Amino acid sequence: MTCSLSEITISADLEKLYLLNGFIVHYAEASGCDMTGINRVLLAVEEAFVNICRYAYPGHKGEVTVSCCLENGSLVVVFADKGIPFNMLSVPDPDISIGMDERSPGGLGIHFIRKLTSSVLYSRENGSNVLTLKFSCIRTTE
Amino acid sequence: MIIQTVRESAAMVVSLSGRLDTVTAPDYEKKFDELISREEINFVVDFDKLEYISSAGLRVILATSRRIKGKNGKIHLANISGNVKEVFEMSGFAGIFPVYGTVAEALKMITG
Repeated sequence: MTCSLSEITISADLEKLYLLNGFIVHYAEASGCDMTGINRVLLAVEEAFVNICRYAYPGHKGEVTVSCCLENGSLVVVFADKGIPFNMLSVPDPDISIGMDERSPGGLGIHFIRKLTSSVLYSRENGSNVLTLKFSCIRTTE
Repeated sequence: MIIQTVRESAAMVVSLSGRLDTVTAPDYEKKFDELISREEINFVVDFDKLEYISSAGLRVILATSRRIKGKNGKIHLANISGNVKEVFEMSGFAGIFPVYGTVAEALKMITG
């Protein structure tokens, strides 16, 4: 998919989160998200970004390019990194019904991404991991 | 994120404002480490001014709560609403923690 309205390339480093947030907020607003909707978008974006920072480049530094576009009123956010092949969608959802003591901390991030997007796709393209998140902010109030 | 603490007779009230995310989660952990090392064992965490939480935030809340529980302490959460409430519900954390409408109520349940 081409999603080239605007893009940002940053190092896959947790400290860059707010730089990324600032970039995303602008397009989330343009797609009609209210504050609640913006925070939902930022949550899915944070979880995707954190996964890339943690797993894409084991032992060395790398970059991630994030692009945004609006498609039929939906906000589309695409993450592309040149890290090791990693499909975060292959991570199973956590069991969210179990108590504090048995809880393992993993898997919540991808669970949130699935819950907050209208669609999420992974592909491996020309040596890059490409994760495409689509949001529709029309249904921010329930 | 800003973390404020007020010592009430029943518990230490820890008020969060801003965003509890990947960047600020270590601050939460650090604050609780410091409080626990001062022999505090009962806590009420006030979420009234917290606008946003991610899985990194939930992770430190879980880890900290286990430590408090391990010391036979209590941690109650209060004033969870908006985006934060949604995240608590999506994650199942709403069922793990005692959550109260107000700090006063949460404090009362600690004494109780």
